[in-house]
Amino acid sequence: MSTPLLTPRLHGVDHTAHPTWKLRETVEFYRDIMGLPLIHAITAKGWGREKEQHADFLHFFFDSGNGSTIAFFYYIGTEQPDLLKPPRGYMGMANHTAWAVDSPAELTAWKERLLARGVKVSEEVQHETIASIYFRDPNFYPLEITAKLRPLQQLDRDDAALSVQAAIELEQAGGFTTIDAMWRRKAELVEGRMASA
Amino acid sequence: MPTLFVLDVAEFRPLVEAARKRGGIAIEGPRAGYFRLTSSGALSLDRADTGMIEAVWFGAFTAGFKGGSLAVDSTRFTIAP
Repeated sequence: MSTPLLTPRLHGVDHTAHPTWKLRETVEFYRDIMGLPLIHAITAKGWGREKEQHADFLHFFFDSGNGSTIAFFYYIGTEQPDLLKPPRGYMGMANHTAWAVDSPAELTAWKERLLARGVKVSEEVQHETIASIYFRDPNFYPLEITAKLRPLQQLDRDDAALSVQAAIELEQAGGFTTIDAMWRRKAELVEGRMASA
Repeated sequence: MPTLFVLDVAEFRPLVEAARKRGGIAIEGPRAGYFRLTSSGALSLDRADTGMIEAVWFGAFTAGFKGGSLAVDSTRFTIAP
């Protein structure tokens, strides 16, 4: 008798990992300023990957709640390659970590904590369904803390599907250069949905 | 005819309420999760009348529009006939 296969599902973030060339500052920021417990550290002779000349390293983990961690690699005796330097500008900020808090009040508490410890923090920004603060760690990695303002519902999923459909159609057709074009195609899809309701 | 579709969620409903107060804008729905706002002339609303912050305002057209060109800044939007 064969064992039925489990449906593969994900259950949230275990860890994200980033390289650092600022060991002390990184530990002080996450452990002392943010107050995230340092809960594990691996110190290893490469990964046994001799051909690759993999540097010896530390790999250490800070508890970011709900079973998740943020982790860093410190490659001993190496210099930061230019390609791994966080870029300036808004496009580089797309590659960020966002942690959840339970309420807007808790978001404000985080802002006050960080400001009191000398971290430059953005204003609280309300987006469509979340409110967030933004700041950087000593590696210049972009960080966000966010509170949900409302739960996402089936309508949000349906609308997202239509948005992505409209955008992919334009991307595939070539010449997808303005959001206006997407919104015009989206209007046709929405109109069709309303007509068939 | 200038038309704006509005997703029926809390953050975008102020657009519909502002259109209702302004008058001269036909409001249909919500149907299947969307409102349809239409105007015989240019369709325009001021952000101040919606109380929406910029981060939401600039994404409030996500359900799509029909008509002439769309002009949006932090003060108002206008869909030309």
